[in-house]
Parts: sequence; C-alpha cells; structure tokens
Amino acid sequence: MKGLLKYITYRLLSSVVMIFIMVTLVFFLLRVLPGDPVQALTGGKAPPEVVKQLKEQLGLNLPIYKQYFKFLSDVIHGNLGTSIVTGESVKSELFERFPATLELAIVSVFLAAGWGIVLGIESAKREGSLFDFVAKLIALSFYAIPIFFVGIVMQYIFGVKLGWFPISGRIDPLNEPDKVITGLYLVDTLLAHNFEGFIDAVKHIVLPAFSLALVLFSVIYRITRSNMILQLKKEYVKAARARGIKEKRVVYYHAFKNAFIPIFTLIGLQFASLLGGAILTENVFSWPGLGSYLIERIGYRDFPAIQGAILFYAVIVVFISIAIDIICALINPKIKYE
Amino acid sequence: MNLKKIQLYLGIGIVVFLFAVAIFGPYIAPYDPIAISNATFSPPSASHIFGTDALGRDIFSRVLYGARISLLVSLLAVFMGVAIGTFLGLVAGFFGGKVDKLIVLFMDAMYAFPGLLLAITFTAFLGQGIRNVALAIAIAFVPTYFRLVRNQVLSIKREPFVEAAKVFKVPLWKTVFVYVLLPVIPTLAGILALSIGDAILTEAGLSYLGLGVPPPTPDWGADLSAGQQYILQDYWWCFIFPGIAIFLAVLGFALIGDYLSEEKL
Repeated sequence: MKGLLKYITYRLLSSVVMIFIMVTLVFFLLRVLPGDPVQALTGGKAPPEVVKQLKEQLGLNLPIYKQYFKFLSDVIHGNLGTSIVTGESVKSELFERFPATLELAIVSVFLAAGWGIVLGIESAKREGSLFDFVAKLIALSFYAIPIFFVGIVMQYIFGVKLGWFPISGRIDPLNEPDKVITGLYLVDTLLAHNFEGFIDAVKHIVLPAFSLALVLFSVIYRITRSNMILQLKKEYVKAARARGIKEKRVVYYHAFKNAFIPIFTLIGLQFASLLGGAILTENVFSWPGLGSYLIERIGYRDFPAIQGAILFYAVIVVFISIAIDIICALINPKIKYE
Repeated sequence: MNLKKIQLYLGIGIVVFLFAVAIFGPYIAPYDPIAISNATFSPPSASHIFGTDALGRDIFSRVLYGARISLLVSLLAVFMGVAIGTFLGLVAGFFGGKVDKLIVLFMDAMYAFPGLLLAITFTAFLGQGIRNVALAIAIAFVPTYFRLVRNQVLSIKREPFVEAAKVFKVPLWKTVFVYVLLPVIPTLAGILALSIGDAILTEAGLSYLGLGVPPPTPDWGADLSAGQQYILQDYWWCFIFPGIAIFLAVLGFALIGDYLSEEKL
C-alpha cells in the first residue's frame, strides 16, 4: 500500500509536468504557426485601425512571453479565459458541453464492452478455428471502416431511408429538459418524469452511440482475445483442467481473472479518450459535445477555447489513467509499483 | 491452406491492388477527376460507373486518383514518424541521463493524446497541403516508435558484444545499425503495417473535417464529407464509393499488420 501511495504521488507530479508541457506546446504552436483569430473574425477585410483595436481588446498585442505568463497565472487560478468568438467564459462553455460527451461515452462503452469481451474469450478458446477467423475478420473490418463512414451509412439507412432515428442533435428542442440536474438528458428527462423526452433522447443517441460502439467493440475484442490466448496456454489452466474443474469455469473465471487487468486498462483509456470528445462522431451527428466544440473553434482560431479544450482533455486523461492504476492495484495486490 | 495464411494473402492482395490503382489510376480513369460538367448527381450508369457528384465530376475517376493522395500521405507520414521516432529513441537510449529524461517526458506527454487530436492541432495551424498533413500525422506516430527503439537500445546497450564492438573500434553507426536497428525490424514490420492503416484513417479523418489536402484535389475523406451533405436527397453514390475505398485500403494493411504481429507471439 505504501508503494502504491508513493507511486500515485509520483504519477500526479509527473502528470502536472506533462500537462504543463502540453499546454505550453499548444500555446506557442497557436501563436507561431500561421492563422490569426482577428483575421478569422473579420474575414481579413477590416481596416487596420479596427484590427489594432481588436488585438488590444483580446490582449494579442502584448509580447508573446507576457501573453504566456498571463495565460499560465490564469490557468493556475482555474481561469481559462474568455472565448474570442462568443465572449463567454471558456470554462463554463466546456462544462456546458461536457455532459453531452459524457453521455455518449458511457452509452457507447456500455454497448461495446460486453460483446467485445465475450466474443474475444470465445475466439481465444477456439483459436485458429473458423469461428475465430470470422470473428477476427469482423473485428478488423470494424476497425478499418472509418467511423464517420459508419455514421453516414447509419444516417442514410436508419435515418433517411427507414426514418427510425433522427440523424443529428441530442434531443428535439421541444423536449429539452427545463432544468439541468445532471446534464445527461437520459437521466434528467427521467427525473422530470418527462417520458416523451426520454424516448426522444434515446432515439437521438442510438446512431452515434452504435457507430462508436462498433469501433470500440473491435479494440476490446482484440485485446481480450490476445490476452486470453496468452492465459489459456499457461500451466495453471492445465492444472485447473486436470483437477476436473468445468471448462466454463476455467475459462471465464480462472483465466479471465488474470487477463482482466489489461482489458480493463484498455477500456478505461478508451473511455478517457472518448471523454475528450469523439471528434469525428460528434461532427457527423452534430452532437453538441467537446469534440465538435474543438473543431468549431479551430475554424475561428479561438485561442482560449482551443487551449482550454486541450487542457481539459489532458486533465481527464491523466486522472482516469491514475484511477485505473489504483483500481488495478486494489484488484491485484501482486502488482508492484516503483 | 490454413486460415491465417488466407488472412495474409487477402491483405497482400488488397494492398497490391491499392498500389496498382495508385500507379495506373490515371491511365484507367475515364475522366479528368477535377473536370466539372453539367451532368450533376447522375446515378451510376454505363458512362459513369460510380455516378457523378455535385459538380458533375466523375466519382470513379476521383476514387482512382484519391488512392494516390491517400497512399502518398500515409507512407510519407509513417516514414517521417519512424525516422524521427528512431532518431530520438537512439539519442535517448544511448546518452541516457538528463537528455533521456527530458525526451521521455515529452514523448509521454504526447503519448497521452490520441493521434487524431495531435494531428488536428498541428494541421489546423501548419496549414493544408500534402507535406503538412503528412507531417502532422507523423508527429502522432513519433512516441510509438520512440518507445520501441529506446527500449531496444536500453536492453542491448549493456550486452557484452556491444562492449566488444567498442573495444574493436567498430564505428558507432555500424554498432547501432547491426545490433540495434536490425533486431527491431521484425517487431517493426507488424507495427509498420498497422501504422500505415492508421495513417490512412487519420488522413481521411482530417480531410473529412476539412483540415486535409485542399480542394479540388481528389481525396476520399473530403469527397465523403461533401457527399454527406446530400444524404437527404438520396444521392447515396456520392458517399458510398469513397467510403468503401478508405475501408478497403485500411483493411488491407490491418490484415497484414495483424498477421505479422501475431506471428511474433
């Protein structure tokens, strides 16, 4: 336990350094490379006085190092600045967008994990068989289909042709929950006893969540399969079989228990990366989350918004990966940290 | 024939086909891929087997030409990623100490980010064009190859034969090449094939978001995004063909990469 605490302290410290590096990199990248928010805002047609005034207003006339120190001290105080485009606080914009992304991430991981794990285990059990071959081919295909193509094809078939599901947005504006409780529409509509709204929210999330789930399925399947193959070849599996333990228990309990940690870690990291915004999927379905926010603001060269979104993402990834490590250590006390 | 071999041959078949299309595409293409015509949105027919798009351009010709961009960008990206990653890995591994710590810290920071996010950040500000897009994608690959090479260097550095090579005054580049780079190649091959598939996906994703190669260059991702605007009008051929092209290209490399990395186990 003491080793774990020390390890977590180390991880936290190095994460702070990593986040600092990342944020600094993005800050200077935005300013050194071509592209200018004032030009993006005015379309490059404004008279020079206006441009100068705007730059002063946005603090872009200061020397870069001054802008940088101001930015750093703001970040340390938890202030991400105000958006150049909307004039709103970036932090509140990010928190406003986050629930949409969170909701989509939870639903798609939930849809993908069970199938991915079960098929991965069954494939490993029958390694080299026709079943294994077909399952692997399907998984590789899901990996190879660009997610935005899956999304568009789903929109076309289930939205346009069959008319079963709406092809964009999170909910019909009429059904929008009156008050934000969790920000997750699936929960808020239920809490407000707005069943019509709930069904509507479900219908909206089906297509984007399934598109994401297909890709997630493929990654989860592949890691489960390869780890289970590794475990099933070990001596303890032979020993368990020799003791006459039922095959199902040997595979699903003894072997799976030992393959669990890498699988869990992968799912956790995938979840973290979805929380940063499923950039492509959100754009296909006009899902109002962090991914579409980032792309929108890159178009405007909205420096504070871009920096904020990336910082937000870095913090999420770091915390989730530390959380995963802690959970793994609690599950398996054999893991030693240095 | 066993199933694993089928997987490999299927992959090789697709990749060879892809290269053939990229090389001979311009000779096969019935139309100029950027020539605008009045025949907008004509469905697949004998004269336009994949139909035409919003500007009346022949989609079949665009898909053929698109293979060039896609392959060029992804091969260039993987090549640059491997070169930079290997170089940094060698430097960090051999020098150790503070240099190593610093590079590792940077690489770890980048590793935490998904490739697409890194590529988007870089292209958004590097600007469009084949070279910039390839560089942006390459940056996303650097940490992977860096780790691979650095680990290899660390495990081999203390081996007696490396010491011996030093005593016999074998030039450093030779030691590096023979003892460090040659043994990683089998591990590298599988990852390399998978990386090319990944690069094709990333390139298509960037173009889909409008951050890739600028129009009117025929590009699968960009054409897909343009096609999406007309799904309500039922013009399915505008997005289905570029999508299938990306899928097949990535699948080819994924089949090979998966086979190679399993053979190693």
